[in-house]
Amino acid sequence: MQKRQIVLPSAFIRSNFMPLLLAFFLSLITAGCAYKDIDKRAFVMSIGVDPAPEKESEAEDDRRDQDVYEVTLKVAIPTSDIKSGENLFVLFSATGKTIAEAIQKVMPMIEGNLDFSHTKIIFFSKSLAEDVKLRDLIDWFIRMETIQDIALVALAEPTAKDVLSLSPPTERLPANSLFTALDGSGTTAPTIAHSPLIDVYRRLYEPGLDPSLPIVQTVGKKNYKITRAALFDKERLKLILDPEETEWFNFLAGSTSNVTLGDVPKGYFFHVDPNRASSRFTLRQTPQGKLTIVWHLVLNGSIDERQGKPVSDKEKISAEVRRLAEQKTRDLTEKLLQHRLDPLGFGFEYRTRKPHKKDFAAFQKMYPQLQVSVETRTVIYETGNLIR
Amino acid sequence: MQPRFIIYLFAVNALMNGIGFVPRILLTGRHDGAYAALLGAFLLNLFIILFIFWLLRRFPQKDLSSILAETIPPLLRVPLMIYFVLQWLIAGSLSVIMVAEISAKYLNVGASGLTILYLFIILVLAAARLRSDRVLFALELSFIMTLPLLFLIVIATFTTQGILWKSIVILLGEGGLPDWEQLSAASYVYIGYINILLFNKVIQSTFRLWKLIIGILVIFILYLFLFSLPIALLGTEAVAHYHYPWVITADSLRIEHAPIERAFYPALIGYLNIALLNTIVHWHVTLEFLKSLRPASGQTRSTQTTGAKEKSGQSTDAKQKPAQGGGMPLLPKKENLWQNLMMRLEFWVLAAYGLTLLPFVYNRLPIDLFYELNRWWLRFLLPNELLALLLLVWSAWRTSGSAQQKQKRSRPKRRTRTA
Amino acid sequence: MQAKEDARHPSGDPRLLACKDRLKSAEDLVYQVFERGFSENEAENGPALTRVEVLYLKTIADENKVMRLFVRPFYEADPKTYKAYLEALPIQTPYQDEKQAVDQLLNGSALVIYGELARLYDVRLALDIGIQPAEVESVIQGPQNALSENLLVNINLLRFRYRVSDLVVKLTELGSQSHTNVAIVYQKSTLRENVLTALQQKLDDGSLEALFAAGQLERYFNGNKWTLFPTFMITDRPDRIIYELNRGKVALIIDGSQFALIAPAYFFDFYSAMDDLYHPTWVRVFFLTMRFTALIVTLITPALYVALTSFNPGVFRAQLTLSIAGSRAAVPFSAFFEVLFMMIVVELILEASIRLPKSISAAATTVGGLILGQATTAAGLVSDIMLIVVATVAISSFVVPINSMLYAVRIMRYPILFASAGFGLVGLGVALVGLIFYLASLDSFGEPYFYLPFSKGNVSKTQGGA
Repeated sequence: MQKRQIVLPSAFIRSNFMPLLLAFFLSLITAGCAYKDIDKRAFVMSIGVDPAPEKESEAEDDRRDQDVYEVTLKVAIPTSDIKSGENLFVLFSATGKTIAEAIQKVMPMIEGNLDFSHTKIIFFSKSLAEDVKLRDLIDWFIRMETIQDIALVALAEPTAKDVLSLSPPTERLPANSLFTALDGSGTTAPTIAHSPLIDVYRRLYEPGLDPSLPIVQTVGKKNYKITRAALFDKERLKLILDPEETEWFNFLAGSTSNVTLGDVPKGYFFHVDPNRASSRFTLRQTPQGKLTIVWHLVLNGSIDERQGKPVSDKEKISAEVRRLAEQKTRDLTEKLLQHRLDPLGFGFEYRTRKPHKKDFAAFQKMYPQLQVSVETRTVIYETGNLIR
Repeated sequence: MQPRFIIYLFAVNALMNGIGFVPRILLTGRHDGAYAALLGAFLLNLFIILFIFWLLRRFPQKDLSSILAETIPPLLRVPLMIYFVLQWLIAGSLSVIMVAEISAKYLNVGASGLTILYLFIILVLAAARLRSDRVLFALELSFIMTLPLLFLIVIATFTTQGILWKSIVILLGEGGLPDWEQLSAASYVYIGYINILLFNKVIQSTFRLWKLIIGILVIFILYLFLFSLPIALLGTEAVAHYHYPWVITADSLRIEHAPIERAFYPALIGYLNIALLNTIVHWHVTLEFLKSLRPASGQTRSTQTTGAKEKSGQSTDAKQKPAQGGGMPLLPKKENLWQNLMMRLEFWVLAAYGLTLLPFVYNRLPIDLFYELNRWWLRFLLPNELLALLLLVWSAWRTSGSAQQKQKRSRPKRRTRTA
Repeated sequence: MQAKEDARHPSGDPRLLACKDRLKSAEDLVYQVFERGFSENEAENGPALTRVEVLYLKTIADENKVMRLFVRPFYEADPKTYKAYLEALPIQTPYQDEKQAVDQLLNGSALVIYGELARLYDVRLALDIGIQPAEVESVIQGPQNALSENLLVNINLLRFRYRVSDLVVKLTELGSQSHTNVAIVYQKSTLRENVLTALQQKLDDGSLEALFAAGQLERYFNGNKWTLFPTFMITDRPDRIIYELNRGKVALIIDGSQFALIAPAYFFDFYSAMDDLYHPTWVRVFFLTMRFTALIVTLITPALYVALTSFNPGVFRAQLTLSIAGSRAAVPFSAFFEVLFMMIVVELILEASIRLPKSISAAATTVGGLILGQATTAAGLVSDIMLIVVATVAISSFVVPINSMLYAVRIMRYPILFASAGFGLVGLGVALVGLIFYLASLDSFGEPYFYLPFSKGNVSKTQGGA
């Protein structure tokens, strides 16, 4: 048998693997600035930003020096066994000329290190959104590496602090109830649309697509409702939709299809089935050269309830539903056009056809004069357990 | 070794989108024909890659420096190899700096980037000094471990709301012609194959070329997706606001029912691994090319090893041989420190660079400067590819004729792998 | 009386010589020629009938039987009737060709040549001493017997299961003091040359004094004191030895030890259970996947716990984060030490249960596992979730089919834990990449230790495409 010198691997590893291993352990010792035990962290579940309370009768200099924001942090108190109703949290507030400054002021108030990795909801109070540019408000949040980009943004009424201090009886984790509601993983209420931070930021800079935020209102001391939507242009809060409009707005935006149409005097409720309804629009150039927004609505739904004198003819109900839907769509779209708001992305759609900047400038100029037309298809495909 | 290892060389760069400045550079030019740049880079690289692999078949189990040793006078060869060594060194350095920066920023919030850089460099140095075939084995397994993490992103794309694919239609509609920088940056995705200039000595370059075409096509489609997703998710304008668009993209993805809601962390760990592998491969090539520059012993050793390879290639597979191949030179057990140092001079030079100069530079300079450096370095990508191609064409031309025929005869017809 | 001939006897029956030639690598082959003086009726029957030749493998055939059946009658009986006697013996087959004869020989037959007569007789050695069911590496469906401590019995077990003519059995001695008998077994046609060369080289080195167990050899062969991962496989299952021999490996069977050593071994071999061969494909695939999942879980879970609780609590969902934080509130140590202490306690329990006699070890685990676990959480020394982590890790580390890898994996968790305590998820990633590269740098007898066993025939296939 041919004898060859076989060199076993050991010699080859040993030679200078050891110094490197040593260096590894050395670098281990010098590391550790980021090491912080989980029980030494204060988890901020939610952040609210309010306008700072104005100081009374101060000198001109003082007023210039006045704080702008009051930031409230909702910090969870961790418990090992989570029980219903034992929803433990603490609120900390501080004011500052910037959000970062205010948060810096909160830090000495808590023993744990502030941890924003579970910050799921960001509230701005409605009055602040009217005064301050949304771009400025959102800057700190989008810039912080630790804050999730999928954190939800919402407006709070009357103040963010009030909303943060809510503790609904069903809630087990701080801020979890509102998060579940806004997130869409729980309730499918048609008035709630979810708006993640990253989407809000995108819409603030995307030509032809404007941001919209849900408004959370307090109800009593413990509960809340989310029934309205706030529409922004690229800077400030411009328009608040009422609950009925909000519902229809969300349907048109595609974020819900769980809408209800109907009239009690007319005697029915028409419920649109979430799986069989859709809305989309196209832009059409009329022969006269006018640009028209054409809505294509498909409303396949069921009759949920009849009250009083029933309308027996399904065709009649269908026609009525169609009329109502068209009316609502037309009204809402025209309202948006009038206010020069574009949360549904008409301009965005226009850009997919004519992507150049000067085309879009022309589009913006003629924006309020756009025509609206609606094409609706309605099928009542079921009436529940009852035949009629 | 089997040609499948070429896949991993490609992947080392193709999946680097999470770390580094290439997405930022390409996205900065999104209104000026970035998509055209992607297409252009695809076609250009397809051509170059096919040509290079076709040429490399004439040099079975030889790396670039041993090919050049036969066809180019040393006076020209040495500066050329030094140039290549520098290119590879910079490539690896940029990757490792980027990954340290991103890790300190997003994963270990509050940790010093410098310590993390040290950690990475120690790992890379320890790994880069392995034998070439071992580097490839480890590469393969690391990829298999990492890919599921990156695959999460694709899954998360389906469950995330608010992805506006129409944004891409807008950018496609804008048209525009890309400049050189865009084209070169778009080539970065494909450039991983260039490591074959070293690894050719252990990988059999004999496979059907259409497989290569499919591979490059897959990378092209993959990168179209990887380039488009940030635009669709972050918006056509806001996407250019970020340092690392892909990190933000990963952070914006949400997997609703998974135990980990955010795709961010697994994806980032995956990208971290890819970037480390990228650095390891690049610095391994640096180290091996440096070794081939040794004037006296290096010359003979390189010919020896290739000779041995060819001999062994006839009977068994290359990796079955004892440790005399591409890795560290083997030493008798007892040696003094100085001899050790001199024998592994190249390694210690690299270690000294990695452990002193690089951290120093990283610590002193702002990250924007690295962005500029990255842009500047990316401009050299395509010229480097073309230079390598040119050298191979020249070498092939020089060795054609009698030499080629001899080689053909000596090349074994069948290699059986008993492993 | 009995004339034992040299194996290289020039004049032998050609049929027998052909068989012998085929089995020349087997050192346990016995070739005997018996001759008797001239008989009175030589003229009638010819000189050939004074001579009988016998061929058999002594490890597998019963030598007493050979003596009783062929040798004694040959000298005692009437030469005229000896032929008839041979024809009348039970369980015999006539010699057909060389191949058939070799097969029978390997199955424990003896080839007897008496003039023109050539017959194969079953003289199989039936050993029932010391064969115990395999306990270290157990399977559910499959051969249950382990190797015994007798070398010959072990080779017998192998030969029964694996009847190939080119199985080489080399008998040598090892240990300058103990003179332990060692058999090197391999299959010539599939063997990888350099493995044998390396093994032989080490065996010739002769620096070992006394040899008791296969594990000892492992360290002796390795040369490096500081290895962690086993680069040899140690097994007590004959079916595994055969499986590995068939794949071209070399087995070293040691007299006086129930364990054989198989070289080379690759990392992934340690994760293949013999059961895999006996199961349907999907079952096999599923359990292989489970085993690798267990490997990953064992390696990274403690490190992941530290990294996620102390560096990136944002990874979990909020519920989990808060409940971990809540359960840790009373714990006086930082998460890293919490994990470290608990892991060490588990190691102690395991070690105790190995060392103790079987009857007590159950009690030890009960005391350790149940009472200690319950008490530590009640005392607030360890968080509840930590206990779950430690238990998961311990359970999943037992999934390794081969024991020696289990130890390596258990130790490997600690460096990964340290890295992750220093650098969080980054350290975990670096440690895993480092581990993979470290494994890739290992050799097992000149063979790379760590590569994925993909596509066997791929090389030659792609070669054709050139």
